[in-house]
This record gives sequence, C-alpha cells and structure tokens, in this order.
Amino acid sequence: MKSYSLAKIFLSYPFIRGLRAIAVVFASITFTFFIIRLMPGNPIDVYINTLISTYGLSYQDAKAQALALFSINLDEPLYIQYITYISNLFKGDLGRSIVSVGTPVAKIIADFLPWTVFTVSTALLISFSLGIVVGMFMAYRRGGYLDSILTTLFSILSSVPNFIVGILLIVFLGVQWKLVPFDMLRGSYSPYIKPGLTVDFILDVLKHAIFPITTYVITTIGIWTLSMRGSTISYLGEDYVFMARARGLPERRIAITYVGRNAILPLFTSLTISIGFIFGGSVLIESVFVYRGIGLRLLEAINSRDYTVMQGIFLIITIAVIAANYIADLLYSVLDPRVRAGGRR
Amino acid sequence: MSKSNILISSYKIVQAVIFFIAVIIVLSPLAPALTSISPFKAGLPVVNAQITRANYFVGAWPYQVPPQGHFNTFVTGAITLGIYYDLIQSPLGIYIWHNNTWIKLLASDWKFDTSSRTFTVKLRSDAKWSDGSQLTSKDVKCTWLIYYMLGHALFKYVDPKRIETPDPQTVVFYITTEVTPQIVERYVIRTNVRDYRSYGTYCDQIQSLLDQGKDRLSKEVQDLNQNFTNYRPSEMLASGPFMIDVASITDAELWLKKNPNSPLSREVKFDWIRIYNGETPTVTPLVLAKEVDYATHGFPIATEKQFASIGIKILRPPTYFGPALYFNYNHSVYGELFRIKEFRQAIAYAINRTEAGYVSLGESGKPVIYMTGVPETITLAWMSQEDVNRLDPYKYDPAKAETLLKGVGLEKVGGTWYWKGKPVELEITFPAEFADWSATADNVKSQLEAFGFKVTLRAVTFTQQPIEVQESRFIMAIQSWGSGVPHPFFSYDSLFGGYNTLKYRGSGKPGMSLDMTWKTKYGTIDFTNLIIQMGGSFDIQKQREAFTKAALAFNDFLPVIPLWERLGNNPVLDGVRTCGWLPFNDPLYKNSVYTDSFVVIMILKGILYPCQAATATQITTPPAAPAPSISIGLLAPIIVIVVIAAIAAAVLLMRRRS
Repeated sequence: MKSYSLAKIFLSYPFIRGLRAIAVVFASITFTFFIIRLMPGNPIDVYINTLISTYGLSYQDAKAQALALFSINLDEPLYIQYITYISNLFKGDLGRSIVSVGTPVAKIIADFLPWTVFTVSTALLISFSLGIVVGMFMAYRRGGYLDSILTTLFSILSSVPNFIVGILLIVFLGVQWKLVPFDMLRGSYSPYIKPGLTVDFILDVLKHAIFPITTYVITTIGIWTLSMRGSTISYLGEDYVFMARARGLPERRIAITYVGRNAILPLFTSLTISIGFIFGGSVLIESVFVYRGIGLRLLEAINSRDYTVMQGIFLIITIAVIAANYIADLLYSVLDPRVRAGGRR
Repeated sequence: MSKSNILISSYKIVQAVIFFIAVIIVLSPLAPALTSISPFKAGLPVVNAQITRANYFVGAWPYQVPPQGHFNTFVTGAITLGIYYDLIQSPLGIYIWHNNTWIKLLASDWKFDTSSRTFTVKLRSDAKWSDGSQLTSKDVKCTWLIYYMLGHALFKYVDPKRIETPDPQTVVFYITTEVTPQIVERYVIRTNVRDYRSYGTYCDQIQSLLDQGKDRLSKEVQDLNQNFTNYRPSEMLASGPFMIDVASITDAELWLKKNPNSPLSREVKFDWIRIYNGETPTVTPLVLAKEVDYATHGFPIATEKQFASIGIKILRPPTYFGPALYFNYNHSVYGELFRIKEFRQAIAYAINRTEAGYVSLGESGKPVIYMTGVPETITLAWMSQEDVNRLDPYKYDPAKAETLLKGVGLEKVGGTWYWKGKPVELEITFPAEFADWSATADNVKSQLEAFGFKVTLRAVTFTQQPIEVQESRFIMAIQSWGSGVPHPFFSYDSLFGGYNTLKYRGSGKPGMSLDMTWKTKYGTIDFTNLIIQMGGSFDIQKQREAFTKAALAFNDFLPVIPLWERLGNNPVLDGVRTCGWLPFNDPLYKNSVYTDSFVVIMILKGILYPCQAATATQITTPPAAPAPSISIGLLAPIIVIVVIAAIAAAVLLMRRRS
C-alpha cells in the first residue's frame, strides 16, 4: 500500500514536472558557467592591463599580483573550475565578487534584489490590472474612435524601448518643465534617510520608485491591453454570452462574470512567466534612474567580466523563470487536465 | 464540468496568483528596509532636522555603493570619487603644470639628494586626521608599505626595507636605482596618504615580513595581500578639507562635509560638496537642469551645444591623452606592409587629423601637431625650439602620401591601392562604448577609403578592446597615446609597456609586436634604451637629450599615429551656486583634468566660493523630533498576519474552484 502511494507520488504530474524543472535549472547553470567563460576577456586580463599601464609592472609581476588579488585562477582547467563552482553552489556558496574583491555575491544579491522585485512586481500588477480593464473597455467599444485611438496609442507604447520613456520622463519632468525635483528622479531613497522599518523610509522609497514604476507601466501596459482586447472580443461571440443576454442579465454582470473572467485566462501564462522575469529587473531602467537593483549590478558585472556576480545573478533569474514556468504548468494542469497527459494514469 | 464552469473556476486561480503578486508588492518595500544597505551606517545616528545648505559645490563622479563600494582605498571598488579624492585623503602636494611647481599640501618640504641617494619628505606639523590625531611619517610609511605589497612602480627605484621615519614629520626614501628625480617626486608627493589607524595592522605585518627577508612575490606577502583585499575599514579618515558624510551615501549621490581638523580647510570657502553618482548618460540631465557646477565627463558635441545654449560655459582643459592609430606589426597578411616606415608615414599624411578631431569631439578634439608620442605641452617644455622645428608635422597631404606609397611598391588601380597584386583591405578595431573614439574610427575609415584603401570597422566592448590589442588580435586599432603625468617618460612607458609589452619589457603580451630597434633618418635607435635613459638618470640635461632623440625618432618612425589630443569639454555653471571661476585662459587650466585637477586647487585655495545669491537647498532628512516610526516589534506580527492571510485566501480560492 505504502509502495503504491510512493509510486503514485513519483508518477504524479507535479513530481515529474518538478524533476524536469530541477534538471533545467542544473542545465542552465552549467550552460551559463561555460557561456560566461566563452566571453572574450576576463577580469584578470583587465586587471593585468591596468597594473601594467598604471604601475609599469612586468607582465609576470602583474599576473602574479592579479592572481593573488582575485583569489581565482582562470588558468585552471575549465572542468576543475566547474566542479569547484558546483560543489560550492551545493554548499550555498555563490562565491565572492572578483572585481569588488572580497564581497560575497550572496550579499550583493540579497542587498539589491528586493529593490528590483519591488519596482518590477508593482509595475506588473499595475499594468496588468489597468491593461485588463482598458482592454475590456476597448473590446466593448471596438471599431469606435476611442478604440482606434487607444489601439494605436498602445501599439506605439509597447514598441517604444523603456529606457527612451525613462529618459523622456527625466528630460521633460526634471529638466524642461521642472515639475519634479531631481531627488525623486534619481536613486532609490534620499540621503540621510536611515534605512529601516520606519514610515519615513518606506514613504521615501515609494517616492523614489514612482518614476521607474511609471516607466515600466507605460511600456508594458500596451501588451496587456491589446491582448485583453483581442481575448475579450473572441469571448463576446460565445453562445453563453448570447444566452446570458437572452436571459436578460445586466450587461455589466455579463461583462464581468461571463466575458471578463474568461477572457483573462489566456493572459494567465504570460502573467506567470512575467512574474519569473521580475527577478531579472530591467538593466536600462535601473541605469536611467540610477535605481538600486539587480539589473544594474548585472550590467556592471558583465562590463567588468565579474564572473561570480554574473553567475549568481543569472542563477537567480534562471530559478525564478523556471519556477514561474513550473507553477504555470501546475496551475494549467488544474485548468486543463489534458496538460497532465502521461502524468496521471 | 462544463466549459464555462472550468473557465469560471480557473479565474479563481488567476485571482489567487494576482493576490500573491499583490502580497509580494505589499511586502517588498519592507524588504529593502530589512536589508543592510550600508555597512557604514550601522550604529550611526540619523542626521536630524531639515537642513538648509547654501554653501556647497556640486560635482559628479561615478562610484559604487555598498556592499560593492567600500573604504579600502587601495583595492578596486573603493569610494574614492576620482578628482575629489584629493580633498579627502590629500596627497603631499599637487602639481602646477604651467610653471612646473608644486603646491604643498600635507608636506612642508622635500628634497632629492643624489649624493646620498635619498628622497626626504618633511610633513607639515599641523597636519591632522579627521579624528583629531596627528598625521605623521608613520602614516606615509604605512601607505607605501601597502603599495609595496600591491606592486607599485616606485619600488623599481626605492628600497622598501629602507623607508625611514627618523621623526614624526620626516620620511626618508632610499633610492636603489638611478632614476629621474621627477619620477620619484611624482610618485611620492602625488600619492594620497592613508592613515595608519586603518591600515596599521597590515603595515606592521608587511614590515615584519620584510624584516624576515620576504619580498613582495613571496607566498607570505601574497597571502597577506589576498587577506588585505577582503579588508573593509568602517570609515575613511580624512586629512584633506572634506570627509565623506557616510549617512548621505545613496545610489544617486553623496555629500562631503568640511573636516574642521584639517589645516587645508582654512582657505576653503565651501562647507559641503555634493557628488552625484553616474556616468555621462545619467549626469547629462543634471547638468542640463543646472544641478551640477562642474563635471569632467565626456559629453557628445550635440549635448555640449545644448549646454552652451542655456548659458553653461564649456571649459576645454587638456587631458594629455587621446586616440592613436596602432598597427599589428606581426599580422600574417599586413605585418610586412606595416613594418615599412614610409607606409605609416603615408597613412599619417593621408589622414586629416583636424577633421578627425573635430568630428569626434568638436573643439575638444585638438589635432596632434608635433607627432612625438608625447602631448604638445610636454614636448614644448622638454625640447628646444630648434629641435621642435625639425619635427615633421605631417600636415594633410594626400599627394605626398601617394608618392610615398608608390615609392614602396604599392599601386593605385581604379582608385584602390594594391599591394603585391591584391587590394589592401584593412580592419580597424575600436572601443565600442567610447563615442568620441568610435567617431574617430569611423572618420579614419572614411578618409582612408577616400584615399583608396578598403577599410572595415570592428567595434569591441571597451573593457575587451585593449586586451584584443595586447593579444595581437587586430590589424589596426584605435587606442590611447599620451599620459597625464608631466614627464615624457610616462607617455612612452605607458604606450609601449601597455601595447608592446613583450618587445619593450622582455615579457608579457605581444601587442603590436614592434621591434624596439628602429631605423630612422637619424640612424638606428634603440628606443627602449632611450626611454630608460629618460627615466633613469639623476641628470635633467641627460633626460632632455634622451627625450629629444626619442621625440625625433618617434616623429620619423611613427610606430603609432597619434590622431588628436582630447581636451575636456567640462560644463561649468558659473554664478549660480559657485562663483570665482578663473578666466578660461588662465594658465592654471593647463593642469590635467584628471591627474592634477585645477578645480581641486581652486577649492583648496578658496578661489571658488559660494555665490551670495546661491539658492539654498533643503536636504531631505528626518525632522528633528523622532520620526513616527513603526517598530520592528509591531511590524513583524503585521507581516506574519498579512502573509498568513494571503496564503489562506489563496488556499480558499483554490479549494472553492472544486
């Protein structure tokens, strides 16, 4: 009986899918490790170059210096480096930054990730919520002037790169019209605000997050709106909608309960995957607003070939995206039993 | 289950997901609050009161915030703030380029004695650190012991075991190898002094290892070095007129506050300096909004014009470096061609350097005149006018270039140059992110194409491109020439040490793979030997002679083609917050933008001062009374309740679907 239960668990869809997710994470880690090392240049070469040109050291001296300083030997065979990395990873050690020598990668991620999660997830929620409301509204007004104008507007917005929107906000609000003080357009909190669980600090954080979030919302709302519009239009022609109308139900109730609830479902997969990407943040928006976040750190790490930091951040993004996909799959298996084919006998 | 029922119940799941996102959002602002943003802030009191600051200067410099940014100023990632670092941990002196003199800062005097082979520095007796302690010879010695461990070039000439401190105000360096006094002087006087209090533990260990006969490359010293790189001092003591106000450090900006203990503060008129964090793209809007008094970033020409149109002045001081065209002398196809001197001379004649400089950086792209491999100011200071007149200026002359090329066997067929029966197809690599150098590469390509060469460009990311050149993975490349140090030795040493390392130093990367023995119209020249003579002699006349020979040889041989010298295009906001800017033709602006900043000198000497009509700024700080705060004790259960409620709601929603 017991073995039967265990077998049932092992053959269950979530278990099989979970194993697959773990395998994908592992494969991604491996892939990332080697891809990073295939990038031209490495931090030691960059540092040796600096030592030779700044201090006039010989190449051998500079190399010895760099190897001692970075506590990483990139001359070691790749497989040894890989084994070391994986074994450290299993011990929960993401290593130390190569460029900001001695700083633990886990600390860098722990310090910067919450800020990215905060801004991107807030923006996601706002753009998703607004998108479904506006999208439904447009579907009901399809063919009208407003629908045409909004469709054009959202098509344009979704094709404009987010950093352009960010720069425009800064230039117009901060420089040209001077409507917003620069304190609000740069950084994640004000000088002299002591970080902590205080109302002041939280309000200050919210104040600084307004424009990064607005930028995210402006550049993502178009996708949600247009998707919701299309989805809603397809449901408006369903038999049960005609039936509801025939039964004399109020249009508002039909819109919310019969059309809206169903039309939102196709957006579900995109939403779930977007949640995974929350952890990647946006390099460019964080850069434009000098906002504390993991995306900006990733950019710096790539530029300076800081392998360990790159690996750590990619690891977090990979796990987040794969976990989001896993959750989406599980939830979809609840929505649609056909997805579980092979998982449940 | 009917289709509509499945859909409606599925909606509950979507609701649950959205609810979860909402919970994440509710909690995420608290997460930053729970993270330790700054290791420096632990235990620091919150600066209170709404402070109004009027007498402050605003600059901009990129820095990293904690945990990557830190106060170990010897290793990468330290918050040193570029030119403004001299105002925090000051050097012993700062150089005035136009008259070759020094302004004494922490030192009262210094002397190079060739007979005893010593360099003796006297510190000023009133020099103090920001904690009130005396700045002594122990601090200077400690600074150099750490630099010895890190491999500083000073120790090619100075014995690390014999840095003596006979009294608290005297440091004596013993010279081991004959060297130009200016080199030792430059290294010692211009280096920022660190405090023994922060680094003493390591200095003592280095001294102890030296006493045991261990040198820098011994395992013990290298282990100590590795340990040192992980060291993070909790503060940065200041000897200069300003110190970092650690409570002000954010990703966007930080403030320097006046250090009342420093004797250098006496003449300084500002009480605060505000430094905005960021590179050119993020600093540009601040300059446009007149939020910055001075910036050293490289701005594109269009941006520069916009600054000028709103009344921001543009200052064009020298940086003493710029882009040059490099050749790979060992290239499998074109190495042989590049080794022909006349070919390189022809290239120099075929490129209009005035045009290249202007399209790259407008008025700040100053074409190279003397083609000596050393910036114009230094060339003129070190050569007689008679010798300067012997230099070929390589004025734009395509006809002469054609004659030279035909003279060495190239043929022009249908407007294209052929060598050994094949068209010459060149490639130029350049750092992709440097807008001005990218423009130079593009312009050189256009000019060479118009002249008859086929040229392709290859953009390489700026951190990698120098390595590509060092590894000889290029045909032609745009890389730097010149040096912001007022001795010609440094320009040549950095050029060949950086990009012809193997042939120049005898070890290292091949780079250009250029043999350092050159056949010139002045005879066969061992250029390495000339550089050594320039830097390795007590006698200034011998140095001048060596430089003159080197400059003439370089001018004829053209191992690289210097294209233009980069002048700064520094925006100066005059008369808003900061007044007293010297007229832009003042010789002080001959100082290098980055290595002996004239702005630092003007702040130190009280030349710059806050304008009377300065607009005061309100610094956002918590009010004097304790800010209404939610204690962690109160928030913790709230968070727990919210999390539990969220989970419960999600579970309920999930269950209700069935």
